[in-house]
Amino acid sequence: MVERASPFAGTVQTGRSGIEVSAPDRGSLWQIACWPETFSSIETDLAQVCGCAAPGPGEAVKTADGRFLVRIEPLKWWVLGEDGADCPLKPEVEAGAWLDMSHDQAAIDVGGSHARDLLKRMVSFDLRDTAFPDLRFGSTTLHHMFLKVLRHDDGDTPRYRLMVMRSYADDLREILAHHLRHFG
Amino acid sequence: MSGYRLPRGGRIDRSRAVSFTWDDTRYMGFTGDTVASALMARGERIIGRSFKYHRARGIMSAGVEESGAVVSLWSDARRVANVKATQAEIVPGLAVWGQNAWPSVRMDLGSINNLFGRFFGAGFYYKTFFGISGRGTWEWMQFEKLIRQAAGMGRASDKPDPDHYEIMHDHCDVLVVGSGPAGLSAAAALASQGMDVILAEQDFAVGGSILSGGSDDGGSASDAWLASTVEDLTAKGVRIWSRTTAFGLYDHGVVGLIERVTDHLEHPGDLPRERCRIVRARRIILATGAVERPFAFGDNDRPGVMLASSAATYVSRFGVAPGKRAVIGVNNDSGYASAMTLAQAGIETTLLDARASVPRSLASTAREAGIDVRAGMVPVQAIGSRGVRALDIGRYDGERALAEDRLPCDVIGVSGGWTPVMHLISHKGIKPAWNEELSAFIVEDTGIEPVALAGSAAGHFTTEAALKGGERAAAEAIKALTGKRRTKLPEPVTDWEAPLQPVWEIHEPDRKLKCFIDPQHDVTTEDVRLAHREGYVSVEHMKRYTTLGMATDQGKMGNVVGLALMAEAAGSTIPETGTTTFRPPYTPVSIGALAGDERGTLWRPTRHTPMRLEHEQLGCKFVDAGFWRRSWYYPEKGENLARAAKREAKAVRASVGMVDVSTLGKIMVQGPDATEFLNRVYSNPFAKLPVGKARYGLMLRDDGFVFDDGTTWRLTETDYFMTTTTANAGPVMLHLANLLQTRWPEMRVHITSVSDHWGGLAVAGPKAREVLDGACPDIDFSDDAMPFMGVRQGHLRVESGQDIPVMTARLSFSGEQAWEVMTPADYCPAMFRALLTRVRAAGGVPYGLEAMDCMRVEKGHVTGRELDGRTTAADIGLGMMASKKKPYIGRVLAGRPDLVREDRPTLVGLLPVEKGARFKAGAILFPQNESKGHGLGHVSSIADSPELGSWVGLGFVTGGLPKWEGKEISAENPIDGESTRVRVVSPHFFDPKGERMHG
Repeated sequence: MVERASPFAGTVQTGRSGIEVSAPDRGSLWQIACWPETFSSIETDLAQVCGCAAPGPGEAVKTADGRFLVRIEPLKWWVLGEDGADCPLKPEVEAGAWLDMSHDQAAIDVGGSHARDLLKRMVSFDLRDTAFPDLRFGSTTLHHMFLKVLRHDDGDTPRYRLMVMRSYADDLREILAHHLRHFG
Repeated sequence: MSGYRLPRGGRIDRSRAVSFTWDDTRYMGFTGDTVASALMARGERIIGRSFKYHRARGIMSAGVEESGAVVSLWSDARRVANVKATQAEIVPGLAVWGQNAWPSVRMDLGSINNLFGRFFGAGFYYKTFFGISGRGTWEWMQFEKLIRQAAGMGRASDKPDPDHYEIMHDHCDVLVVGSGPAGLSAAAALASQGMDVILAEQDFAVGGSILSGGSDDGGSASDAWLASTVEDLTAKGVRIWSRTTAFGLYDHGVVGLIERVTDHLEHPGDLPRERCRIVRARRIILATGAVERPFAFGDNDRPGVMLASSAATYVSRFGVAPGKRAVIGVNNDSGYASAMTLAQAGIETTLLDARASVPRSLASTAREAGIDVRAGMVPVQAIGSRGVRALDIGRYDGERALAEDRLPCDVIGVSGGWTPVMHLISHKGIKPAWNEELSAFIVEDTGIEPVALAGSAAGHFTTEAALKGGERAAAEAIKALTGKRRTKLPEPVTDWEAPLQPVWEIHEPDRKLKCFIDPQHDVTTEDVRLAHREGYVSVEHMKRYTTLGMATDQGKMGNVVGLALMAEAAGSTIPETGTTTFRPPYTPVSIGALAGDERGTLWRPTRHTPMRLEHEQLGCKFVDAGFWRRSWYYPEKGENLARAAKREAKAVRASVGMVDVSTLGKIMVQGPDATEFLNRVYSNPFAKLPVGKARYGLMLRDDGFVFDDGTTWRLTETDYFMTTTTANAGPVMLHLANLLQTRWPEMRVHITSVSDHWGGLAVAGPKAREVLDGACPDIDFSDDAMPFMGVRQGHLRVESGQDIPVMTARLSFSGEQAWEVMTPADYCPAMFRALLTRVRAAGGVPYGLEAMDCMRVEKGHVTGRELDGRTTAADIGLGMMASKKKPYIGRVLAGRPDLVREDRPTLVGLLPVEKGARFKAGAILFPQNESKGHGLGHVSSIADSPELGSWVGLGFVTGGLPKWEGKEISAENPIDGESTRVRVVSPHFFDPKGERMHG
C-alpha cells in the first residue's frame, strides 16, 4: 500500500520539561453506528468481537488487540487502531452502519506530568483526574476547530490524544508549539 | 519631605533593594514595595493630576480604590497608562511616569484649569453642545478639539503590544475570592473536608487586612496564623493564586480572573504578561473585603489626605511613615486602630471623632498611646495646595462645623465607614440592601446563586467576625456539595464598641468649600447638587451627568457618599435613592488578556487541503476562502493572476486540466431510510436514483429560498456520498442533523462529515478521458460504462506502481467533459502527482480557483455569489427541478406569492455592448439613462472570458430574460463612478446545449 502522507507540514515531535508531544502513526478509524432499537445487540456484539467491556458514554476501553473502542455519541463508536486494521464489526443495514474515517482526523499525543497544565490553555472542560480519568473521551472546540480528546495514560503518566479534522492539523501543531514556549 | 522609610517594621525585604525611575529620576525601594510606598518613602507627595482641574493629587489609599496616585508604567510600546501606583509592584528597571500633566505632575501648566473651575462643573461639555448663545453646533466645533485633547488621563502606546497573553481554564469545587481572614478561614475549612479549592488574591501577597496590621489581635500573632494557614492550605493542595483579580462573575459558576504573570519579573522570558483565567466553580465564596470610604470636607483632595486605614497600612506593611504629624478624622471605631498604628510608629497623631460620645475603652487606649483624642470634632478644610500643611477643624453638629482651630499636619487620615466590596455578586443582578446600622449596602441573600459572601464583604468588619463568617460560608458550601448536614454556625456580628455615626459631608456655614467625592474625575459635592437641580433625579442619570464613579476606580471611594448626597438633595433616603449597577470588570483588564493567544497567525485557523505541499511545489498562489487556503492560480514566467487564469482556462478548454476540489463539503448519509431522507431534503426527486449514479440536488431552506446545491452519489442501496458547497459544508451538516433530531427522529439515518477523510481532484477538458483511461486499472471511463453522472469505485495506479482506492463521478462544473476523483486524504499527494504527470503528458495544466470561476461563469453555473440566501430555485433558472409530486423542505413557503411573482429578479447573462468594456461584480443594473433608485438588480459574478474574448457577467434582473433578453441596460458602479452598457443575454455563454460536457 502507498505510504500515507502526514497531515502536518512541520515537525510535531518535541519534548519540554514534563511534556512530551508526538504525532502517533497514521492509523485506522472505523465508525460503527446503530439505531436506538438495535443498541443493545450492537453493544453486546461489539464488546464480544473486541474482547472487552463496552465503554459507557464518553468512555474508551482498550480492546483485546490493543485498539481503542470509544463511545463518541449515544449511538456511535469509534475504533482507533493501526493502519490497515479492518472494521471489527460491520452491522447489517437494519442493525446499523459502519464507515471508514481513517484519514479524517489528525492526532497529536501530549503526555507528561505537565500535560494537563498545557491542555488547560486549550481545552475548556474539566481535566482533573476526578472528572477526566484515564480512558475518558471528550469533545470540545479549540480556536474554531472541533477538538476531540482521548486520555490514554502511559502507566502513571497522563497522556492525551488530541484529534482535529485533518485540514486543521497545522493549526493544532502551531497552537501546541505556541503554548509549549511557556514550559521552557 | 513628609514621608520616610521607618527604621524597622513592614513586610518588605530590606535585604533586596530595587532600583526604578520616577519621571526619569532614579529611586530605590525594596522588594515588597509598591510604587506608591516607594515614592512615599522618598517623600514624593504629588503623584498625579486630576482629570479636569489638574489639581495636585497624592496617594489616597493603599489598594484598588486609589484615586490620586494614578501613573503610567514602562516606556514606548510597553507603556501602560492609568495604573494605580498602590497596586504596581516595583521591579528593577521599572520606569514610572506621571500622567495628564505638562511638563510634569509637579509643575503642570494645565493647573490653570483650576482657576476656571466654575466653568467646568457637572455636565459642562453637554452644555457646550447647546452653547451659550444657542449656536451650539458652532461652539462645539470650536471647543471639540480642545476638549478631546484634554480628555482622558494617561496615553496608551499606539505601537503594537510586544507582550503576549493567554487564556486558561480551571475547575474547582469552591473558588474563594480574597485571602484575608475570611477567605483564609473559609479555604482552611473547605480543604479540611477534602474540597478542591482555589484561593484567588488580587494582591501580590496573601493575607488581606492581616498584612496591614489592622487586625484586632496584634501583628505577630496574626502573622504566625497567616504563615501556618498558608502552609496548611498548600499542603492540602489548595491552589493559591496571588496577583489574580476576579474581575467578573458570570452564569453557572463561571468566574473571570486576571493574573498578572510577569509585571513583577525583571526577566519574564517567554511567559505571558497576563493570563485570563476562566474558572468554573461549583461554589463561590466572595471574601472580597471592604473599602474604607472617606467623607467630604474642604479641599479633601490635597496630597496628604488619605484613607485612615491606608495610612496605617503604609506603616505596618511597607515600613513607611506617610507623614510626621497626622490628624485622623473618624466616625467609627475602626479609625482608632489606624491612629494607634501611626502613633506607635512615632508619628504625632491627633484623632478627631465626629461622634460626641467616643468609645471609652478605645479612646482610653488611644490616649495611653499618646494620641490627642478630640470628641465631636471633624476636619473642615485642608490647607496647602501642593500638599497638606495644616487642617482646620471644627465642632460637628451633625451636619455642619465651623472652623475653630488649625492643626499643623502633613497627613490627614479619614475614615467615614466601610463599604463592602460586593461588585462581583452585583454582576449577577443581585441588588444590595441598605443597612442603617453599618451605613452600608449589604447583600443579605444571594438567592439561587451558588455564591456566598464572607467577612467584611458581608458586613462583618472585625477580624473575629470575619474568621467566623469564612467558616460559616465554607460550611454552607460543604453542605451544598456533599449533602453533609453540619451544625449551622451562627451569623457573626461586628462587635464595635460604639455605633457608627453617618457623616457624608462637612458643611461650613456661610462658606462654600470645594469638597470632592470622586477625586479622579473631579466630581464635587456641589456637582451632585447641581445635577439634582438640573433635573437628574435618577441615580443612574446623576452618575452619567456628573461622571461620578466612572473613573478607573469605578466609584469604589465615592459612590456611597454620592448616593447619600443625592438622597439628601432629593429629600429622600438612601434606600429610596438606590444604588448604581456594578458591571464587569471589577478592575481594569487589558484587552490583550481578553484576546489571549488569538492574534497574529493564531488569529483564526487556516485549513489546508491534503495536496498543499504539491501546490506549493508548483509555485501556486493561494487565496483565503473562509478558513480554507485554496489554490488560486499557478503563475508561469512572471504571469499575474489575470494572465495565468486565462492561460489555465484556455488549456482546459483546449486539452485538459486538473483542479483541487478537496474543500467541497462531504457528508455520508447512511441507513435504511437514507433515500427517503434525501428525497425530503432536496427539492428534486432522489427516490429513484440508481446505485452507481450521482444527481445534482438543490436544497431549500424552510422559508423556500435556496440553501445549497451539490451532487449526491449513490454508493450502495443505503449509502450516499453527498457533496455541498465549500462555504456551506458546516451549515448543511447542522441542518441535516437538526432535521434528524427534531423533525424526523424516527428515521434510521446516520449522517457523518467526511469532508476531511476524502480529498479530490476534478479532471476536466476534452482530453480528460485520455488522462484517466489507464490510470485506474479497474474503472472503465467510456461513455457506455460511465455515462454522465456515473459513479464508480476502484483504484488509481500511482507513480510507485501501487494502487490507491478512489471513487469517481462523471460530472462537470466547467462545462467540459470531467470527472471528480476522490481518494482518502493521506493518499491525495500520490494521486496529485500521478494525475499531474498524465495531465501534462496530454498537454494540460493544473488550474486554480480563478480559472474554475471563469469557466463556470461562461457556463452559467451558480455559486455562493448567486445563492446568497435571497434567491429561489426559479430565480436561478432551476425552477423546473423542484418536484411537484413530493413534499420536501421549503416547498410550502417557496409557493408564497412574493416568491413566485413574475417580476422577481432572475438570473441572466450580461455582455458589454462595447467589446473590451469592463464592469464589476456588485454593480447595480439600471434601465438605460435611469440610474436612480434601487435599479433592476445587480451583477453577481464577472469573468474575463477567454472563449468569448470579452468580459461576461451573471446577474439578476427584475423580470429576467423574458422581459430583457437582447436589450441594453446599464451596470452602474457608484463607488468608482463607473457606468457600462451591457446587453442582457442567456446566462449560458458557452456550450449551452452541454454537448462538450456530455460528449
